[in-house]
Amino acid sequence: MFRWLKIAACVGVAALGMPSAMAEDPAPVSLNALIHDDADAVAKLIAERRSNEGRAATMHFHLQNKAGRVRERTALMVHSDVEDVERIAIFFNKPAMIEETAFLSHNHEARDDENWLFLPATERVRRIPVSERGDNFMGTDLTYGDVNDNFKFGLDDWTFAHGGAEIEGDKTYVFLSGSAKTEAVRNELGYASFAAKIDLKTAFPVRVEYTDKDGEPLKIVHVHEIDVVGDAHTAMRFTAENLQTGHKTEVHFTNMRYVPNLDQSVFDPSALSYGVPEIG
Amino acid sequence: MRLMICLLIASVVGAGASASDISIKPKLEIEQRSAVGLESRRADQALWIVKPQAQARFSRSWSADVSVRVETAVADTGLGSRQTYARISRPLKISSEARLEIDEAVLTWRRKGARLRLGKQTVAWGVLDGLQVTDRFDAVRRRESVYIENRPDRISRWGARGEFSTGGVRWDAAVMLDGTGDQLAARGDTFEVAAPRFRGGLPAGTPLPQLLFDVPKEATIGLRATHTFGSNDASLLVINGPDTEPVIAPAGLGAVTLNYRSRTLIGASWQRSSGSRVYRTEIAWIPEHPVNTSAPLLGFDRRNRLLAGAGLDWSLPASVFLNAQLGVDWVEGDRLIRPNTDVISTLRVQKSWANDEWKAGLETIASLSDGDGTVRPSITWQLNDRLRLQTGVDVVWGSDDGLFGQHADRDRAWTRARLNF
Repeated sequence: MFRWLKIAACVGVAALGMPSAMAEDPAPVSLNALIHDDADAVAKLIAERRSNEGRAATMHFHLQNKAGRVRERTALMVHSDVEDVERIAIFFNKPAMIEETAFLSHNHEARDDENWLFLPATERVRRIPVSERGDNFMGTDLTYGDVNDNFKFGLDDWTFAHGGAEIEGDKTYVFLSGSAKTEAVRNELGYASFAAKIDLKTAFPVRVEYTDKDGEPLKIVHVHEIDVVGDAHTAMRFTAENLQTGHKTEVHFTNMRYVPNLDQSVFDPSALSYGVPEIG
Repeated sequence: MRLMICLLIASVVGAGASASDISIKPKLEIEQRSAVGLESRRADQALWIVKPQAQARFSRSWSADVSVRVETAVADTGLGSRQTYARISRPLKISSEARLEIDEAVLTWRRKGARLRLGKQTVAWGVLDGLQVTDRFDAVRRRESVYIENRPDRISRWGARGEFSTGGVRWDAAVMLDGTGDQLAARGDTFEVAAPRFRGGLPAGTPLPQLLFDVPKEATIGLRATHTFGSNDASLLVINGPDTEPVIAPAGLGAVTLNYRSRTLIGASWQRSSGSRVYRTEIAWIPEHPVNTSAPLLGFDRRNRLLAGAGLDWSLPASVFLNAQLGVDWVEGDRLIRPNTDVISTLRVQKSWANDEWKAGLETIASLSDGDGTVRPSITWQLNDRLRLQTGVDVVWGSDDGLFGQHADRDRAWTRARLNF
């Protein structure tokens, strides 16, 4: 009993520490439910985590295979979330081999997502198929689903279970697990289940363990650093390690900034061929 | 033309002089291609391409790009024709086996969704993958026929291009002032054209007379309008200027001329993405297209030409990608040295693994009307961030008067290495 009171107090402090826009969200979730047993409420809290109208950053990828061979990528990442469309543009500027390659994704609430790719060698922006959500994103250990979901768990994809709560210092964590609702979801995502440790203050998972379609341990994602950008929490550094191949991807952002009036022409497919834009 | 180049240089220097924080980014790419003829057992290709490139950013809106290629080839797949280029764009001959060519020399202004580019550049239109229906603005390097990685391999020309959006329509207008035509394999090279359809009707094996080149002075002008609705893009376009494919005309005793006659292309394209699939289609109408006729020999006429194509990109599970396309090329009338109708199919399947370090591909291109074609399995190893290695085999079948069959004895195994700094 004492332990739960302590947890509730910590969460209360955490809630007070949230940015005002987050605290003012309608229909606040009962802290008691979050901590005790309401897995769906936890999943909903994560799914409804606030996202920026516009932000930009330099994105660094560090890819390392089992033999220790390292590949590095640097890109400008631009993100916006307006009018029910989440737009992500990634303009690679290192290494030279993939420089000027650009990827654009429009994720719609109401219809199929759209992707475009500019490859300098072909000199054309091509509308490309939306990859299977379980496919690797640009050679990393993240899937397209991971990238698009932004550390959220699709409410229609998973059957959630609550695994209790834990306090570490001034932080409160809830354990959430999920199993794919259908075989189709399992095949689409490439995951049969996950087990995550959620930081209730930021509504971000700090660790997620995935199993593959056959239920074998597949991947561990660690979110090492979370920051507030504008009025939303954003993952600044995270790693994804494939337990079956030994391949590991570390991603971190520098020069992350909130761009409230982001010029939406950056997300025009034809602009991918214009090269890396300058974002204020 | 000279005025334009002077203006370009003056603009670059001027913009540079006024800018306090110019950033210059140099790059270098080195590519080596080797091939061995499977029948001849001889070195079929030994080509090195060194591409120094630089980009200068003068301000938020202004930048300049320069890229040149220094090429040297010492085997039977040579560097191709120079005479098909307009003088201003022609590669500089360093030796009989080495050249220098400007790939890009462009001053760019951009603001929001608009862009203006002045200089030597390419204009890539169309939505299909290597199947040229409306993608007929640029001249193309054909010295290796279709046996390259990215088709078409465009040749840049001097001119201007402007792109902007208004009222939900994306406008793209271009004018290229030099009349450079397609680059062809040189006489005696591995992929020298052998089929009668490309030789004014002269049968395969018959030596071609002396070739003269009549590079046109007319500009190529094009306008494309694109509208996006939902997950669909629809484009209308018109291109007017010299055809990049020549007709062959008699030029006195023992000689023929490659003529690049003007034509107008009116085209449309449409593409739609639907989840893991993208559907594409294009159609082009060329009224009074210049063609060679068979009677009299090396005769010339203008006939209506219709091109159409459709394709599907499909992202399959387990990082498998499939691209399938079908194209039809029809020319009206009789006494043609080419068939009235060509039907071409392409199929490409790719699978990548080990976090994209490895990629295996299989491509087939076939003429369903001629019954010839080629199959090209390949494997790619991205060794690290700088070095990429590829190897593969090109196998060709068909009769010697077919689009592909003309090279049926040119089966080859090849390797490519690309190094980037």
